[in-house]
Amino acid sequence: MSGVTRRKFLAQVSLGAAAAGGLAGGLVGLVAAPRLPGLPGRTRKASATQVGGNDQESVVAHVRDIATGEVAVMVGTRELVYRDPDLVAHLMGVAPHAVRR
Amino acid sequence: MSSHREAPAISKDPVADNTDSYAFVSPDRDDTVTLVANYLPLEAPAGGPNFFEFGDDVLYAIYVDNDGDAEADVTYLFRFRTEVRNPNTFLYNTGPITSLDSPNWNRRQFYSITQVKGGTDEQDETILASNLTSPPCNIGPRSTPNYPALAAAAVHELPGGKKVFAGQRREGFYVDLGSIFDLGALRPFQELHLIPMAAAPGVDATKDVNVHTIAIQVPKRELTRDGSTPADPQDPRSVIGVWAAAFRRKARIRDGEAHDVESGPWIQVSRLGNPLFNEVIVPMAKKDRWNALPPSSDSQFAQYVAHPELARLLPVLYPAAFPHLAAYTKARADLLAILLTGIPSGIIPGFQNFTGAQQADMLRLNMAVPPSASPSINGILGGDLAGFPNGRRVFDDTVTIEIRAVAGLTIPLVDTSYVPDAAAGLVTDIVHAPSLAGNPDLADRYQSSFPYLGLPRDGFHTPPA
Repeated sequence: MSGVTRRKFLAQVSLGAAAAGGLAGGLVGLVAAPRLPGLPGRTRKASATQVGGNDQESVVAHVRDIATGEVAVMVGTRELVYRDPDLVAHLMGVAPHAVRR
Repeated sequence: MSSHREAPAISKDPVADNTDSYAFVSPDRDDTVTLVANYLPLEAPAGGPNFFEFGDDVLYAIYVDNDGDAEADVTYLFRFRTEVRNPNTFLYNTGPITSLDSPNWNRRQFYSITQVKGGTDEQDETILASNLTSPPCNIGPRSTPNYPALAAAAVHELPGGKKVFAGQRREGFYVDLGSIFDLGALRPFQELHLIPMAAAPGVDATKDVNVHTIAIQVPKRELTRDGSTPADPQDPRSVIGVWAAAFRRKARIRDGEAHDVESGPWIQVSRLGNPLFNEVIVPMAKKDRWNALPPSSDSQFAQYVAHPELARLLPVLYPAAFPHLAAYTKARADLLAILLTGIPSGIIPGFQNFTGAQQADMLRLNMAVPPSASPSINGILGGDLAGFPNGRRVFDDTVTIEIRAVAGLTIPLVDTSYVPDAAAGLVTDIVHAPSLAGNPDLADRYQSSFPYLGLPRDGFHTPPA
């Protein structure tokens, strides 16, 4: 190890707390904040140049938890997570009628 | 192998698989830093007719942290778009491709770059460029008769002194892949292996494969926290943390008609700071999770750095070679510093790349350290402060550096009572001369100017007839 001294040092390390999630209270339940990749929970400004979703994209809904009625709705690069037990119950009523293709 | 196919999930998604990340002061423009992120591991040059390309459905990112919190302060996002000129042919090209707008080139890729700058509260986003052209893959003498010209034309100058390139290059990372995953065999020392064989120099398994490279060269002052140009290696403002990543959309609905629907936030599926971190430090069951997390979450993996599995394996696989390592039971503060916090001042004369107490796997580059006129592929272990783990250059022998560090060569930095095993300073998977100039075959893989990785191998001549 040429050029390297052997003085002792203490590595200044610590176990940091995990970053807080980006969930906040909403009208019905949970609302996921818009996020940019790798940068959770930050607000964004600018619009003309922003990397964002296209609202003309399809809307995708995912039943995350049947028991709690938690549904994730995705449009563009945004996601809304909320609780709607009535919707989930309705979907579960429809689900058995799905046909195999 | 660095980060090629290093985790179960991403090994099945090569287009998004971040294989290597590099960050170094540009040797020919020392007022700039070059950031490189490679994807698509182990491209066989002859892999047609659908040659390799970036994913239109993948968001590629290079991140820079300049204040030590392991959060991005400067981000470069790359998005690709593919155009097919003639949908009625199966051919990638219908004649020689002699320019980037050649009508013979049937499947072209274009990309945009978005720069995101900001702290924890708000961000400013700017599209630096759009509709930039990627070069074609290097197919062969009939299809790409003057590949150097095509590759050169795909180096784009951006306002403010930036340069960018995105396209195929030759793999710069070298490793004896066939040996090292055969129960940790290091051919130069395999006569000492638990299952011994005659010693051999080692095989460069990646010398004839390609990757897809995203490279951007940026003035140093655009990466520092206060816009200053780093001049003092001891100044904390001189150090940046760098990592790269790839993202896919959260939902994809396949309709079977090539009109798939994608929706939802971008989800990180690949990440890479230090070479080999996820590959040989993180346990198999946690590799996919690691790929989905930001560096600021890495303290949960510190236990695997402090007590790396490889350090326990070496004395078992090479029973007579590492008695001191076998007896060492303390937490590896040397590795915690090198990989997770950077090396503080006072350890290596004239050098530090400490970013603070926040543990995070990032390449840490001290931008005030000038490029070396005679670089050692062994980086700092070879006395070359401009090399890994001070950032990472394209030619650094990171396999040897990390094996030697894990084998105990760097323990005396933190524990003066420890005497490394003799093997720790010798162990390697391929026998190389320490200087880049001393390895002509190796040096042939690189070039002296941006983007520094060499031209890709072409399919016609690889492997040689």
